[in-house]
Amino acid sequence: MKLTLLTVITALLISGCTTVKPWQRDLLAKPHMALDTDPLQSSFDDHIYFSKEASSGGRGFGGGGCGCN
Amino acid sequence: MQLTDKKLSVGLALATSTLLGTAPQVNAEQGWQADTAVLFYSEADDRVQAVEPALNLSKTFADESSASVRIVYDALTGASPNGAAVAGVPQTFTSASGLARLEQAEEDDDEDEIEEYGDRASYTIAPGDVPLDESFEDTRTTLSGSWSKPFGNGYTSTLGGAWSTEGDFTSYSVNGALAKDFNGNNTTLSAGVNLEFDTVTPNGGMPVPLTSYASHNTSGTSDTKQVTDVIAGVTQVISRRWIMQFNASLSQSSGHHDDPYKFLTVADNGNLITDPDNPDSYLYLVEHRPEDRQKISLYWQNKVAIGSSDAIDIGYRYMTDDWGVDSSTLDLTYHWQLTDGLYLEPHYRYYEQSAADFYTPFLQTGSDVQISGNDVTVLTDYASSDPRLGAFSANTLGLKLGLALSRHQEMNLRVEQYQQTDQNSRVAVPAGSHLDGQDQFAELSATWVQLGYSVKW
Repeated sequence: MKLTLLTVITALLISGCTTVKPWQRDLLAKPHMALDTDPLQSSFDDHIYFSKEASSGGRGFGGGGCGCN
Repeated sequence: MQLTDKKLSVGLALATSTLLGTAPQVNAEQGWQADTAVLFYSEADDRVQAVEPALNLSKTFADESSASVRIVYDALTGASPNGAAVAGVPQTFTSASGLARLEQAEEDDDEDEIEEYGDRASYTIAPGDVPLDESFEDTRTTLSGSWSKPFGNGYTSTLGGAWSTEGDFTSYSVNGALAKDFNGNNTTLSAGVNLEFDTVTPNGGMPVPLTSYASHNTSGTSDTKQVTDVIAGVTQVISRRWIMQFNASLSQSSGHHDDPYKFLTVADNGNLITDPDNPDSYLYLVEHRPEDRQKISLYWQNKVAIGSSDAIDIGYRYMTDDWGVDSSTLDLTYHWQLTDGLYLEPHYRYYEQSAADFYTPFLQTGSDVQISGNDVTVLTDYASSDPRLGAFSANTLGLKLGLALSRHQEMNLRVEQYQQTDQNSRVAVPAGSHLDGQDQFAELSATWVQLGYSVKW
């Protein structure tokens, strides 16, 4: 599973070496194409899932700062 | 097109601050941005209810550096599973935290609180009901900030910190990250580290692990935990329509991991047994978790533009830790731009985790605990019945509606529904015993609603 994931990602990175020029970035520059479009929403959700599940982090650092471990 | 390129470059550089979890809104244009939101969180069966207002203020300067501060307040009430097993007989518990609050109220001569905590200090759970401690009540305030500055040669550094406090818990953290743009701003490599220092000060003192809950044995008043996180990531523009991010992270946590308010039932052939030291109570032992925990996470996110104004966001996270928990999370969001100023975002999340090695719905005489006369000998090093460490899957369904009020203002409303499903294998108990036919895992169902408003100037 992990190996498959890494292989796919490596393949994507290699194919990603095709440079996208600045004038081709009209779509990527739109606000809804940001990797985290709503950081407050992400932090609410990270905190909820951190409080109720055994996993945290991934996108960023594991959500701490809560006695709800 | 120059501005568009600059926007994307800063957007990529902000991948670093995304790592820090305190990322300012992607806002490459110079100026201020305020994001405010309030979250209403509600669990079914009168469990935890929370109201959380939050404010994030960020500024992007002329040199493309940016700073942000965030404050979140959290008011929690309700009931939380105390860890005891559901049984076919009534169970009475005396809560150490409830008693501590009652004593404090008596000291302060506060009659309202004496009445309130008098009822909560000791509570009885009806046969077949999940044992919930209703004395759960807390407020939490979190302050965090970050500062991000691009240097020459495509480097961007980010520094951040956070402070969080609640009635029985305080946490400080500091973090730093560095990002480097390559390949005509199509690739960003980033790496960061976060150091966290936590102190837990339970109401009623630090319970001694794996001793009788009813005896309320304590050892000191507080304990600490330190967490070090390191993370490395790559953000790659694949095509005009496709951007992705891959992160690998390692988290090492050392110190006190026990939940001071949770304990486990000790069952003998499926029946509750009287606590030899507390004849008025059944036997329950305070939970105990290992002092160290190491977690590894792999995270992969893809964002693909559909048509001229829609987008699909697909994220996957794999996590494994040395407590025996493996988890997978799949997250899907579709951005559906209905008109220039109106969008809908349907959201689906699937999560599943295996149980921690020391998770058990209850302890059993013989294999876990030996009782001889009045002596209780615990044969296991660690044990917890916390549902968060059990095996379960969970589905979240959500919908967000966003409305642009002007070019610089947006309001949004979001509803999410979360449902857990028990995936633990059932522990067999003899027919007709107290635990026969009872639930061994309290599935959680929760709903939350978020109302947000953002403005730039």
